[in-house]
Amino acid sequence: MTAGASPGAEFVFDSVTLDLGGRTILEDVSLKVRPGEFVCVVGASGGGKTTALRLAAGLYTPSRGSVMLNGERLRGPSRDLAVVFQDYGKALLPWRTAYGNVSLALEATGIPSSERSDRIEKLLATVGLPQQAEKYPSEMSGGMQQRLQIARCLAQNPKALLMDEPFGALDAMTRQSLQDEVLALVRGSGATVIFVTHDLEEAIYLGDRVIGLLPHPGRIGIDVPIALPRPRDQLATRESGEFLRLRRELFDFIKASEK
Amino acid sequence: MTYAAVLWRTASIAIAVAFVAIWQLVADFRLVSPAFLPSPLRTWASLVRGFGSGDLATKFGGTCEHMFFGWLAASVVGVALGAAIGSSDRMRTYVAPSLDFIRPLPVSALIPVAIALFGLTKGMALAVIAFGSIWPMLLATVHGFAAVEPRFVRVIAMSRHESPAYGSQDRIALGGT
Amino acid sequence: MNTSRVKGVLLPAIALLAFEGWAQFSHLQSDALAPPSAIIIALLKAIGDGTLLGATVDTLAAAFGGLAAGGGAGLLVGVVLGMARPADRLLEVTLECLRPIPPIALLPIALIALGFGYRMEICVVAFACFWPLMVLSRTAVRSIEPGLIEVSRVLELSYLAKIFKVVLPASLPTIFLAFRLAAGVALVVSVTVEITINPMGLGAGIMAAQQALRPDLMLAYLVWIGVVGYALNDGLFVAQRLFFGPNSTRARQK
Repeated sequence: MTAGASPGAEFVFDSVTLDLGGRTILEDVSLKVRPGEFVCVVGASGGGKTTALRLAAGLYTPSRGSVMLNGERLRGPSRDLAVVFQDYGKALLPWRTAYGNVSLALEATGIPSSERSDRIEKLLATVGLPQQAEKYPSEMSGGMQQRLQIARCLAQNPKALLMDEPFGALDAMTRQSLQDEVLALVRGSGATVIFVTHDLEEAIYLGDRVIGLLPHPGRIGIDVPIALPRPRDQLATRESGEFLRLRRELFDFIKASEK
Repeated sequence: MTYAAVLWRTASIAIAVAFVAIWQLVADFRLVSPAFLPSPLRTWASLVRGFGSGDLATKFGGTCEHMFFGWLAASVVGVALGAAIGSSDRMRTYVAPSLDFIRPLPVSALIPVAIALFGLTKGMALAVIAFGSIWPMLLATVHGFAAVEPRFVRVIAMSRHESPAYGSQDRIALGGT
Repeated sequence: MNTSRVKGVLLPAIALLAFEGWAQFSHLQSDALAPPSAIIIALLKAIGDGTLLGATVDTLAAAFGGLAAGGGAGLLVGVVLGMARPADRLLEVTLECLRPIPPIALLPIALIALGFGYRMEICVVAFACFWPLMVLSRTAVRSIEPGLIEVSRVLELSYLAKIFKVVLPASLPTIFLAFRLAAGVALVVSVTVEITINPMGLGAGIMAAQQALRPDLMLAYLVWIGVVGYALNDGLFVAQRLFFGPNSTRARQK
């Protein structure tokens, strides 16, 4: 994961509107995500956070407006845009071992099997699953499965990592250690990250920037730069005055948006 | 149906008609011998003739009769037997394995036996048809009776201040199926 | 566990003994019935001189041939239709008009076109086995976890890679179940074709015995056909549990 290996992707949402099933999910959303930035998206439930992420991933196409990736119009999913889904159980192949699941990403890029095993072992070690190659997802805990999904995404050597409430289903302790692991993984790679969460503290802790969406229809309500020093620390950062101020600001925003 | 569904259905019918048209072309160009594959037009003419002046109508009626009476017999026997077997755990233990063995038996294998027993009569045909059609009814009834929530039975029994008589259990089970 | 097995065998055992007793006592003379002792003797004789086993091989060869051909075609069509909704909707009327045709109704045409023998029987069996495979594999493909399809989109898997790496493995348990059901159908249709018209296999054997007024041999064939059907059914049931775990057969009738 060297700095130059996967330069981060730049996203530009240009007046993006998305209608689905007769409803307008997102309306006139414009934003710019710089390469290598860690952007967190928060908002009340149903506010379109996941939809925005899927637009960035190319899984949805805008009804109006356009999503640009590195200056070009995004037409569909791409291997450069790795997606970590919230429901890890449904995003991992249950009939393949951990090794096999990570291998799937490498097989997709056409890497010959002789080169694969080295990279897979390294990736599994990087995400903290060193001896688990032969285990099936059903034999792994939630935290381990999510790590496995992240390993598969990293195998794509992505320019951007798009994460949809990845730690929502996990317990607090696992969540905290995974938060730090993600920060460490991303730091060296230069990949852009768009991280959707409903946990305000998580958003502030992880991000360079937090975008808050207003619901029904989804619009950008607030765009807050996070000036907290890196590397972040679970105790020190969360106790700092700036952290608490930001938390208050976002909390008030969410409260107001729910009315 | 929605507008889109109507369109799809029409297109689907058009495709089916296209297949018939291809069939007609194959017959016209004699790509397959007419002895094996008569054209759709000849087939249709035969059908009309058969119902009009021929005995197709009688034969059709005969098959319908067989179907109906065979089904009727199978239903009556199936529900009755199924109720008897399903409502008693003991009956099930003794009888179920035999049923499990008979079920995969190809019904047609009974035709020679039925011919030997009844001769080439209508009764023989009905017997075989009934035997073949009895399985869904029988198995479903056994299942239904067996699966009646035991609590229902107990509640009814308690409300009548008596132990579950055959009658009350019967009624719950029939409702439960 | 063991006592209930004994109990299950008890009823038929008693029935057979009673029947044997009555047949001997009344000096049974019939074209249709024979005492169980005679049936067993006829069965052993038929096995001994090779006729029964030869007929079994004939029937099973035709049944499995038809299962492979028809089931394979059904699987292919079902997967394609499951993945391509438009194609499915366009072919709906055509397929739904063809599906209800009882396979045996095709016998006269099959006989004219292909004559007696293996080919004709395999074709009729293939027609019968096509439908369960097509319908079930189409359903299986349509009900694949959508998350997995999204993963294959994100990874930009090619069409073939998607089929072999995601769609087929995900649908495998249902496909195996479909083959299990179709195997039962294949046996039934094979025997029926043989009883009706084809002079080979177990069906022909039982008809010949009936026409020769040999009730003991006829019933021996009947029992043997039952045994073959049961063994096939059971064997595949066990195989499914073996390959896919005990859960795959729960709440499903054998």
